[in-house]
Amino acid sequence: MSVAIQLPWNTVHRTPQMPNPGDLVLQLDDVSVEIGERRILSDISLDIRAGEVLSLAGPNGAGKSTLLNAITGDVPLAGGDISLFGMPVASWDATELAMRRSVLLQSVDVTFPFSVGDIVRMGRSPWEGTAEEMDDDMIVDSAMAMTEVTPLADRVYTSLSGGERGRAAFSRVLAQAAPILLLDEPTAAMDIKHQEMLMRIGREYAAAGCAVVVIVHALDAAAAWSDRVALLEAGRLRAVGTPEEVFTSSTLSDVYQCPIEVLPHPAGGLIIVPKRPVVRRNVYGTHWGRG
Amino acid sequence: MTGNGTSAPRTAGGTGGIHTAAARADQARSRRIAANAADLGLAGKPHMGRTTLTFIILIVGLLVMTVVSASLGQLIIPFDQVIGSVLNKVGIHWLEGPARAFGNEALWNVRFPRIVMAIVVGAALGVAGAVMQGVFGNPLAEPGTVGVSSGAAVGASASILMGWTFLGAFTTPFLAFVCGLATTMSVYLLARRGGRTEIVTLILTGVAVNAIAGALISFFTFAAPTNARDQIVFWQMGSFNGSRWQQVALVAPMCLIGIIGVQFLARRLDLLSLGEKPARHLGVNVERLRFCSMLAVALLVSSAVAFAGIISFVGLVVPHLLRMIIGPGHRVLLPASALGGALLLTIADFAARTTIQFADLPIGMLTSLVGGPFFFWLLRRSRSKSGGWA
Repeated sequence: MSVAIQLPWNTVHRTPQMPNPGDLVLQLDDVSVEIGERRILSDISLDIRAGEVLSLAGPNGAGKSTLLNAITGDVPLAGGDISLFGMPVASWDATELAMRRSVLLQSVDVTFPFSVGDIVRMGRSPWEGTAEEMDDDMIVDSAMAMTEVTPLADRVYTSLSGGERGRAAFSRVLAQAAPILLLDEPTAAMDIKHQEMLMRIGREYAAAGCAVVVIVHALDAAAAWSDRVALLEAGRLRAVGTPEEVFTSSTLSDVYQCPIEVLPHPAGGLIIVPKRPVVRRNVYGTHWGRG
Repeated sequence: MTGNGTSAPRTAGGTGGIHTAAARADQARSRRIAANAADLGLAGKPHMGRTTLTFIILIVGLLVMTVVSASLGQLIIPFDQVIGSVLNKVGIHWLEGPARAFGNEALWNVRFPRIVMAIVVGAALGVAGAVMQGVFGNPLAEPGTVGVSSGAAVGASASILMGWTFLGAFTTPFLAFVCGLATTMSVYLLARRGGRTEIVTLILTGVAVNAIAGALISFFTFAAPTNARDQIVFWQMGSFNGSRWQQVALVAPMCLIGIIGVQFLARRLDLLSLGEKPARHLGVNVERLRFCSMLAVALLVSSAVAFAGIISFVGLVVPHLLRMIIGPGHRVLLPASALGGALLLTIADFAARTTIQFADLPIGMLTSLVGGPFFFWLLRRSRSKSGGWA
């Protein structure tokens, strides 16, 4: 669209190579994070490889978002190392990081009335001045089509509903086309159809050779869509492995402090539900609530 | 829960009915949003046509206002003679220059420097306002927020009170410029901790520094003898009276550097509206962007107020109004704000000069007088349409 002007003082950024499935793209070694006096994360070690969907699960305050923030470099580490493509995070500049990992935060508020199309296009900004810029229009269009926001392209972002904003923001993150995708509760405001759509896109993304790290609260969705899950408890990694290995009734009940049943689904996969009492229905008047 | 249950079967009955009712409600909703958006000038579509039209109107308006302002005043010089005089200057002799005695002198020594000064200062203030709003992610920010104007006023009033003349007639503007720059940078540095600044800290530091500056100005005003007191008060009301080419030659280059410089920040300012973290995740060095923007704003506003004094509201209203018309993208908003600010100040200066005969109204008073109610109207209008700013 626009011609890139290479200014003499502009540094040349190292563009990433697409990783092969199974390559180690993100490595956490004994990562600890302290905020004030409080220790939020202790000694987290985790390898994340290209081609997998890794879900982070755990109760509120277990440190899931902090772990994601540590990976993105938004909180300083009290100890340990994080490396991205075999190099410490600090050795990449902001643009080089943006070419390698895209991040979707829990809520994205936009200050000025930008249209959805503008917002999605912003995802392409790390690639300005590179050969990849040629594909901007195609990538933006397909990112919008995948997340079903094409009809909203001309709407003002701030006029959208919560779920629509979530999709538009996700679309922006997809447009960034980075080999690592970090998502912090992306499905929170979405209806069930779009929750599933998002997780399916995540899987397709991973199948294309990318790594997807996603924080999810819905355990059954995590079990259904992830290759591996990491269960956090009070700032420590309680268990890592396939959903079948990690999501057992005893582990989940213990971590969440709440009785949880894990049943095999007849078609494969897991059904995860809290143990609930059978309540007596109080229906007053007719079924529509009108007597 | 019950509301849902009762209304659906009554309106249409059956599941199909629920569907159509929901679809209709949905349609109505999107129509309403579209109408609101269109009315606010935010309706999607790349605003290409609208943007081009806005730029054409601004440029034509600026040219027309320049000729009108140059032509009218105590000495009236017809439009064709004004244009003729300009053309003669560049060696084109299509039209006659001013027929009246001293017409050329009035134009070239008094009116043109004054008009050019108004254009330069207006452009600087408009752009500075747009940059501030972008950096702060807040449509209510303006250069005054970080103490540029009040800092400059401290410098100016100190210089007037002390009667310093180490730079001759340029002492007061020089001190105003230096103090404006220094105040802004100190607000920025005071708000910085551990290599980062938070916007709220920055605004509150600005409030504190503004208060101190206000106290200093009051003290200087109090301590000054009558003559100097008048000067201090009038400096703060702003005026283009007595602008000379010499002054323009000092102010214009700095403003031009600032205006052109901030264009390079435009794309990153767009990204910053996603929020600080998302901008960083997209490769923006947010801290460096903030520093560069603050430096540019300090440079623009300090040099703008140095000779002209404090002119408020331009930096607030102009970017606002233009954002409503051409959308929030900084790549068009910044140049448009420069043109808009220039046009607004040219009109305001014309009004200041001609509203009351034989009197030169303070232009800062005029912009606030018109800008205040206008801003209030914008606020009310925007609130009733979309429930507030943002």
